[in-house]
Amino acid sequence: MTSLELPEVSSPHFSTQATYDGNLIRVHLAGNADLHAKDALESLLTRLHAEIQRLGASEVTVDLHDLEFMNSSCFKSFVSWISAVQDLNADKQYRIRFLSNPAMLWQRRSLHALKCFAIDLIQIEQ
Amino acid sequence: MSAKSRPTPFAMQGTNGMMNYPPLHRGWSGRIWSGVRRRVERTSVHGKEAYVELKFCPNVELIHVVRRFVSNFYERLLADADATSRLALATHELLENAVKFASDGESTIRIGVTKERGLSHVTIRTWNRSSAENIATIEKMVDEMSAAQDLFAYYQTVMRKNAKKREGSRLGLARICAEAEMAIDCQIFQDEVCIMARTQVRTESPS
Repeated sequence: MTSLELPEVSSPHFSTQATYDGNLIRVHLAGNADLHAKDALESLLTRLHAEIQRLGASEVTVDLHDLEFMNSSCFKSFVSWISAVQDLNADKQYRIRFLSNPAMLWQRRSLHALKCFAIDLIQIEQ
Repeated sequence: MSAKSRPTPFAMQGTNGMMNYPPLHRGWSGRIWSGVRRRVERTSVHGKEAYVELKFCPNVELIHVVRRFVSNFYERLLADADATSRLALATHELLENAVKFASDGESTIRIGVTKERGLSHVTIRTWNRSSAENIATIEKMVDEMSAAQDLFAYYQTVMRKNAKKREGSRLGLARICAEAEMAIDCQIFQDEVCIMARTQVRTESPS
């Protein structure tokens, strides 16, 4: 099995963890994605995009269950990532499945905005 | 207290007593401050304003602390989880913008809630000094949002327009309109900018 080469982010207010079992890529975000997290998140998503293509995966799961908040800078990192997926040839594009937390009410609105941005690529689950 | 006075790094003013706050234009029909000082009266009385005002020196670390604090404030006054979430998002975005773009490192946020006939009128204002370039950007965005027929469609346009830009998200104000469902206005006085976000929340059944 080829491994996923993705750095983990671990700071007091924001952390990420990525797993790959040979089939499914899953990225878990936790804490506050705010100004402090922006650079780390942007790097992570850029690298994730490259890794998904290298591994030839057709889907990635982004687990936001423990993400308390995301500011517009971090939200824009997701927009840029999704835009990069849209720019790929159709046969190279992959789906992004967001796992949301219904208790974090902001997620419903923000994920809806992302879903509308790329309706064919985004799936939202609880 | 003056808008120009130097704030303590994290000073907080609550709802007790009367106070002056930076000059506001009455009626908000234009974008130039009148220089009139208003006094805010004691709160918690029906029809009067409950408010909280915070002054910041640049301390990004504290923004999420403030978001949690004001979430409790909203929750207590509005008893509406969805409205609390929307307002907390708007507060965070406005405060982060104010801190990020304050040219002298100082910014102020003031949140006011007035209850009237089963509705809570919520106003969030931030003040900071900023560069001419930033002020022009804010004015342009506020003008665009004012002219937009569909704020969610406008938000999607801004997302697409900025998706490949490296510097700045430029999504904060549009996000407040589209996701927090608040109306945005701004007032400029020389190098000072006041951004105001407003909404109404139903808090009591109409009698």
